[in-house]
Amino acid sequence: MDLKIFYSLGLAIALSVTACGVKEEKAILAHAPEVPPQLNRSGNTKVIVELETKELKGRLADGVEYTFWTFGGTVPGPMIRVREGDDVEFTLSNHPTSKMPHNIDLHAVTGPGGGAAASLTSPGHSSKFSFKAINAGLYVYHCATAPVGMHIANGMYGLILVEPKDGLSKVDKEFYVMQSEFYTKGKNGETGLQPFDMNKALDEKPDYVVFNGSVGSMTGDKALKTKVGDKVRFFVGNGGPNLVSSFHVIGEIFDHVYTEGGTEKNQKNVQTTLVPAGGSAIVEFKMDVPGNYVIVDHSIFRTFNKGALGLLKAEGEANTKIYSGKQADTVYLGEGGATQTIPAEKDKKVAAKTKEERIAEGKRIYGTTCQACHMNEGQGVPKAFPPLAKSDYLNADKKRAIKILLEGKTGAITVNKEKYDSVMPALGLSDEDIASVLTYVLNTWGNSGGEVTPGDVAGQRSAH
Amino acid sequence: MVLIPSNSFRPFDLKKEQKPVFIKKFLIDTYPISTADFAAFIAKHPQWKKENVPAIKADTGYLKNVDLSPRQNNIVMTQVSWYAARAYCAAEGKRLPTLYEWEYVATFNKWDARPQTNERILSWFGKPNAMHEGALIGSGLVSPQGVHDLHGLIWEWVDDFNSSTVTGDSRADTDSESNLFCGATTLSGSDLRNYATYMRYGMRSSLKGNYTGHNLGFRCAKEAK
Repeated sequence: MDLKIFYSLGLAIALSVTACGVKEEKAILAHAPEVPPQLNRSGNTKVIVELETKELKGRLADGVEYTFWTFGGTVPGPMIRVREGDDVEFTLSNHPTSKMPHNIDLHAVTGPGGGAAASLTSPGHSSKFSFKAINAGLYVYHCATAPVGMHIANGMYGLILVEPKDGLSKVDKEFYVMQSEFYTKGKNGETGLQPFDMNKALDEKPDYVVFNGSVGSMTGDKALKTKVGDKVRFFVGNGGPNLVSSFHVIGEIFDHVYTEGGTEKNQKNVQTTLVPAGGSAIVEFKMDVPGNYVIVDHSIFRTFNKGALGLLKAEGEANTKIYSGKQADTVYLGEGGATQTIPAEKDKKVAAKTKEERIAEGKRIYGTTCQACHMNEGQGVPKAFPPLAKSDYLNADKKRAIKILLEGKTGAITVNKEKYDSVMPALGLSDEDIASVLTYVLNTWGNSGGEVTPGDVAGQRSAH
Repeated sequence: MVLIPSNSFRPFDLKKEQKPVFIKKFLIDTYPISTADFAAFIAKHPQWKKENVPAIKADTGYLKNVDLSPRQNNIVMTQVSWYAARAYCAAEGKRLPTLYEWEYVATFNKWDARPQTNERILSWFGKPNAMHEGALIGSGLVSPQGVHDLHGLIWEWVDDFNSSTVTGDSRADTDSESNLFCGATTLSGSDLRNYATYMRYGMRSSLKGNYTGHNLGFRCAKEAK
């Protein structure tokens, strides 16, 4: 079929003129993270929205199942897109396998219950009501059948966008993300079919805080994809039922925010925006640098411990002027690095003369100079800094130990059967200090004992 | 049938200042009606065969997917309208229980509020439903007075199901039913049984006399001499 004929036929079907001569179109619904296409009609029309409620078992997290109560078979329910001034004819159908009656409250509706009063639907039945979308904005919809908290907690929410009369500015990518919590009998991660826990919901202590209805909904191969240069818009909703979200994209700044999903692009340069429970926000930003950007609720334990984590990927040319990536990786000694010059003390230090004095002085030097890397019990840091406690490497060669303190060490060594390949800088210690600290270390933590004198050190220093 | 002695009762939707309701002694079916029971009824009363019932008395879901062969008598009967249920009970010389009678037996001495019992009751609401699943009579809970399956099996018709309703929007009920307004009844953790009760009241409010449902059945009651 010729493409032009196909499209005009399609248009004719979509914009069918009813017997009364009223234009009407069927709303295109989209499931998160997708958004229905931008409306490219001018003016208003009658929009038919058909939504089904269905109760079904699904995946909440790996190995964790939950009985979701849904709009359209998904959590969140599909996104609806209409224009300010449209007349919406809404039919809600409750699947016959449902146990519960359901209804819908759309925050976009001006009228009792937001439509809930008119849409209470028994399983195996449908209800119809109509409303005019007199206010533009991004609105939450949810079930409002008693007990309301439980219906929402089980997944009955979604977003309806009422575009302003002039529509929204053009962007390259639009995404639909809805945050919510789940309260389960078992702890986070406990496998099996998890029932809803009313007590936890009352206490507002969720086990899961997720985007788009499950842990990992936007990670791995489900990560959101963009290109460097894309202008991106997120329609963000929060179904709650209880928590407010601190919505943030790691590594990006929102160029524009429509706070709380209103119609004013009222704020610029926002790092984290609040999304109320039963509310929304619209954020816009441009992808400038390629890489992975993590979408989070910055009430951060929800992200790393309860599942509120998604991924946004940007592919394209690097832009090192905006972000260089790692440029250097050097050792940092922290306090006591003997490369810092300490002014000569007014009172002369009494030189340590006996072994006991050396050990005592060595302990002090160890604390200020060596402990940062080799740690307070000489245990070192695995894979980074070798241990000095019971160290076969140290005890095997005293002269080598002195050499290391004089000159530093690079290259791989094996200590107590572990390989280390780090850098130890020359510390610029005096002969007395090297003697003291080595004596201390050799006589502590199960090492072989003995003594190092300043003479030993001086001898090696001149030989160097 | 089980004899329920007379007693006074404070139903869920009773306002604080209202006096308790008096439940006169009555008899109630021990179990809900089975498919075999209803099949026998249709055989004797062919006007209740699917093809003979007008839409005003039963909607298109009437008897849908119900196996009416009387082989098993322990599958609970569902997909029947209020009209059909009433007719069945009348044919037995009985009637449907009233809403308050039913709620009284279902919440007698707050047995449904005991934590483990309440958990079982609430978990039924969260269990998914296969289309052709036939629930077994006796698989639900037993009340202290020996009545089975009031919880954990099906929703049940009562005679005056539309007498005490929530409005379609459970948050904005009018003053005369203000106790059914979710926020008005302050729910504490110990009142969790009220969630199941809320759901029953909510469910009844969504029904019309000719409605049928995959999880909606009934049992009969009778005056006690």
